[in-house]
Amino acid sequence: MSKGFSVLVDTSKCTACRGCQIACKQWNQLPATETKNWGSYQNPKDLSAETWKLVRFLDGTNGDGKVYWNFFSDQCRHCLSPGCMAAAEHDEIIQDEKTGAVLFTPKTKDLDFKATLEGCPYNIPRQNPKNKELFKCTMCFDRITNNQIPACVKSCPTGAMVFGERDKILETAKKRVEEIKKTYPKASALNADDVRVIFIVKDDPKKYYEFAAGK
Amino acid sequence: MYSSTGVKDRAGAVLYALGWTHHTIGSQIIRTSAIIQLLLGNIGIAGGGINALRGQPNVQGSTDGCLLFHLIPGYLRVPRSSQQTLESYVKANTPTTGEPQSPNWWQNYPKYTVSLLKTFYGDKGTKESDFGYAWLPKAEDGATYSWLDMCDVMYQGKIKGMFVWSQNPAGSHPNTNKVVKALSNLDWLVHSNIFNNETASFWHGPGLDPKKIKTEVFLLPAGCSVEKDGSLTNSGRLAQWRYKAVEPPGDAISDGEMVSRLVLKLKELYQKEGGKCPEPIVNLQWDYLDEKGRFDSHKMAKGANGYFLNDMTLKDPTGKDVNFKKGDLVPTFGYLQADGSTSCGNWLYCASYTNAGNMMARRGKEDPTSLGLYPNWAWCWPVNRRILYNRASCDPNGNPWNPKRAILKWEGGKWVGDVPDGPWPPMSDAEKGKLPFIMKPDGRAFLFGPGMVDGPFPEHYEPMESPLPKNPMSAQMNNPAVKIFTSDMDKFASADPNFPYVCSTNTITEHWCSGSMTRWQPWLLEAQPELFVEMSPQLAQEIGIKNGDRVKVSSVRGEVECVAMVTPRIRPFKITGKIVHQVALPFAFGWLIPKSDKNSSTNLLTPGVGDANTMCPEFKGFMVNVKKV
Repeated sequence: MSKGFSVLVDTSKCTACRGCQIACKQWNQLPATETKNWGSYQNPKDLSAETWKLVRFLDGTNGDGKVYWNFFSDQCRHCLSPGCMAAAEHDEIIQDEKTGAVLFTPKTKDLDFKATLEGCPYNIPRQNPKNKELFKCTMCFDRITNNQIPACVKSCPTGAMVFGERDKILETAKKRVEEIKKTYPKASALNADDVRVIFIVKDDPKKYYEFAAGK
Repeated sequence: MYSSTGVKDRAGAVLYALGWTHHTIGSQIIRTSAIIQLLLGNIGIAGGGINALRGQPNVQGSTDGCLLFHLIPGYLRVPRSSQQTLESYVKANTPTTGEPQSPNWWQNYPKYTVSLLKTFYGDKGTKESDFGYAWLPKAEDGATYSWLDMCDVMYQGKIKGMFVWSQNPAGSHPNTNKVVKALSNLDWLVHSNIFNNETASFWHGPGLDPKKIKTEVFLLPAGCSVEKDGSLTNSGRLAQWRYKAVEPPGDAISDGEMVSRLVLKLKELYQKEGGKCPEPIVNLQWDYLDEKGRFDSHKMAKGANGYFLNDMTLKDPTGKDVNFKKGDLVPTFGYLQADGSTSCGNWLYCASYTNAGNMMARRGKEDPTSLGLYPNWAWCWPVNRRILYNRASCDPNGNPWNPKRAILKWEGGKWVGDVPDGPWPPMSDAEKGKLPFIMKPDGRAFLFGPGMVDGPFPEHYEPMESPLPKNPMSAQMNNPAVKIFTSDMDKFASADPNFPYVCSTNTITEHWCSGSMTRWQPWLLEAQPELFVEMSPQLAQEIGIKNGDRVKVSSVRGEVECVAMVTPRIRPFKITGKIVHQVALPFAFGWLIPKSDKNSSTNLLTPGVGDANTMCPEFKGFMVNVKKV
């Protein structure tokens, strides 16, 4: 199954405005959680049952003394062969044939959360501590099946996020990587053949987020 | 690299944000960029210019409309006390020129002034009464009336009441401790906003005991941006009309409606009870109401555009007669008169709302020059000209310096492209040709800059608070033209070992300016919940602070408590051979929300001193100390 949709997240165009993070909460009616500044612009600190899209911030100094500040708008990759489904046997997690979206159903409350999380290379699934149900990005399934693009993509002011037919997105990603490689030789599209949400990074993915390219 | 744009076929644009203005030498920093752009030939061309990235969507519009204390609408000068007659006012402000090829556009000053007075006072403003000029308030010669000045006078107890409209001075202005003490000297304060904020609730502020504050505060609930119609002018001078999407909730009304009700009530009271100098209010023409008596923004916009007040026959630019009827909207400011036969609330907006309709509401997407001018999208002052000084884009024969990006060309005896900066032929026409810098008396741009309180050339001066004991560039430490307030709360600590670190303040993406609107939004607060200070790993190590520690930042004026963000993005300076550390705090937080925390307004730290020309506060350079809590 390689038709369906894909999302491109071109971090080289991201300004970390976090419009996508807020748009996700708004469309999915997810509440704000209480946060504290923990010495980072990144907040909430991590994904949760109430935060499915999170812009991660990482800064540091390269060997040449130049400072980097990378933004990684993290979310479920909607894998072609989802590792999270390995532990699911009774439609707790389903993969929509037409769109390719990987969806957690209310039945996920019966899953072994630890096993599901371990199955995900990208550290995405989160559990509601009260009812034990698991949550993550739905690719805005209710929107994309009604001729709307995902809320995060819609909100992006710089065009860093693009939604469309998978073939076209793959082509766009390939071209863009070739283009920015002239300036950033380490640029790559992360696991483009395995995931539907494809991140383009300019540098070593570890300089964005520990699990940017998978465990 | 930037100077490589100093050729005919390249362009360079300067885009600056408010940081450049937040210095006691702010205006001269902008002038520096003007000089560079002029020397490189980057003015008046496509992709050139000096572009201010404004802090609010309608800063340009409110400045055009006279937000600033030294101006009345259309950048006309505020009348001064030495100018008691219209004649003396106009004489002082209308430049003359000895340069025959200079258009000297400000020679039209009397027309714009009288037309403005006719908008203010209508039939009451007659030639015999100087069109009502005497009723305009006069500022003292040379005096400034900025927020810093008002705050100081308020602190002295000399102001009894104040209207604060849609801003949050107790959060966004410098030296908060002085601001809240000053506000507490008022008998009354009227504040209009969409939420409560630190200004409306200043009596809960730092250092104040609410029980001891006698000020009566009225918080008027305002309609927000999508709950009212009107125009917004962006920094490209593009005035775009906006429709009202929904009615304001509850008792909230638009600010236009608030002003209108206040004016009508004041007129009624002055009419009935008289009082000292009632004429300015009683004689004010206020015909901006719809049939139900509500504020009508279209009528206001038409008033700004201006009307013919008699039937008249005038000459068009080619010398042909044109007839106008009384009540016609003036099609362009070329027709404005100094004899009281036209009205115009702001000459720059003349042509924005004509007999043909509301030009600002246009949404045409044509782009005939392919340079992104979109001449039929909304409307741009002046007279829909998209690029100012565009005649500078052509050589003396009217041919574009860069034919590939031609915004203007003299072809077959007329200009083709953008609306030209004046109808005259190019400069090679010795008789009728004009110089391009039409707002300057001699038609040429100024590198040497008279007319400012400092200068005439930009010079480096240290901020009022500096880590250095002397200016390494010259013998003069600070800008000598800066106005220093002398109250007991206006303290400075320069080159003082108690405050060794350079500090500057900034905004953040998640909060709008002082955060008075955005701190009420749970999702935005979740993303950016509390005050923090950014510092380098080197400084953090020196003073034993770890990322995420709570710290106290103090200046000679006040202190805040916040979270330390230790990051390599902040790097120490090396100044005159010594390491000087820098820290930075956003000013988006305050003590009202999310929690009652008296020491979370960054402006508790900042000095109440401003640029010598504009009085814009020096937020980008003052001295602090940082300690672990």
